[in-house]
Amino acid sequence: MEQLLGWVLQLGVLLAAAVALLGGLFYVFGHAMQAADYRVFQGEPADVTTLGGIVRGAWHLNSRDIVQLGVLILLATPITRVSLSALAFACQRDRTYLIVTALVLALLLASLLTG
Amino acid sequence: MAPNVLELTLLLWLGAVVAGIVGALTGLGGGIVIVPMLTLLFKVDMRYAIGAALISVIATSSGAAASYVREGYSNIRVGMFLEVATTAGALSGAFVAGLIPTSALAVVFGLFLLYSAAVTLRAQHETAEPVSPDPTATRLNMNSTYPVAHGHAAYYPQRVGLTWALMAVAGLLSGLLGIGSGALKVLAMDRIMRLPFKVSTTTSNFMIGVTAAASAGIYLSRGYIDPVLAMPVMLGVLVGAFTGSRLLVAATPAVLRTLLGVVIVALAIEMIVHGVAAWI
Repeated sequence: MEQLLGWVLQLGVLLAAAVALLGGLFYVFGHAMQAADYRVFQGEPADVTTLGGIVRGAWHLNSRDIVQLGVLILLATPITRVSLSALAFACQRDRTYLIVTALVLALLLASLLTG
Repeated sequence: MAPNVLELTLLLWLGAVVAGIVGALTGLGGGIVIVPMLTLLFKVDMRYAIGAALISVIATSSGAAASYVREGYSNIRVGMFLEVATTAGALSGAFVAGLIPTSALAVVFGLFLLYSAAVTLRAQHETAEPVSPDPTATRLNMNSTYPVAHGHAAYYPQRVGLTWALMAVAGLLSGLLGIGSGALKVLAMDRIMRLPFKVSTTTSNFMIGVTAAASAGIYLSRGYIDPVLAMPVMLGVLVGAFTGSRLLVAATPAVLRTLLGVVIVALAIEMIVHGVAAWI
């Protein structure tokens, strides 16, 4: 189980990195000499802050959205890890830690949904 | 004069590699390097920096986790139990963060770093004496072993309740500052729970990713996560974290602690100066 967990994590991280690299290369080669000014906070447009916007943008090969899709995959790795741990505790019939892990997962999802 | 996209990407990537190595070795996550680098070197607004730090913390955690899980360093039971407190704390902290001006946030972050450094440096002078199993930890099935030079050594977590309470504070800070607040986690597990140093750092490494993910939704929807900053940070930190996780086995905790303490003090002073300057 530990081995499987390690393997899944590695796969998720590599996938996230590959997607972000692809989008990033597109973006950097398109805007290499453009000034990168982040001194003033402007927030981000809706296409990179919402799940739907990111997926739609990435589908249309918008480089910023492809990077953001990679970010989303990365953000999903800890959630996947907790879910798999819950599964592992269930298999071991460890009731205490199944509850503990389920609680962590619930808190995680609650904060993701309220955001 | 703002750098162009190519310069920013390459420099940020290099800095992120260092952040990933340091983060994976210490269990602090890369945020502690990424935030000052972005705000001080590239003059990036604190909120973008916090967004990038969140990415770096999750990348460090997941990047190093694969090998830590396989090697058997991190204690998933301890991590998961404490994570309940941290996640709940982080959830409350992230809501308050948007209401506080960024300069004040920088000062708070700086003071927090100074405190972390002081405790890190002091910790070295104490020596852990061998301890017997703690009833609470035993009931919670937390006693375990970890790899040492020849085979495995047993260890017994102490004062579970106090550590749990401290983790709630760590969670609140991380939600407030957008960092994994790994320092407080490592120190609590190291000094109060009396886990072996490498177990503390690798278990913290597991926890910071989960804590950070809890506030990721809020930061994403508020527009703190910019893809142009996120890409080099994420890729650099992953390379660093893979490297760091391989170095951990050979690394001596004593040297790391000292080095880290000094680096943190320097960064803390810079952050406070930066925050106060923006205020005036």
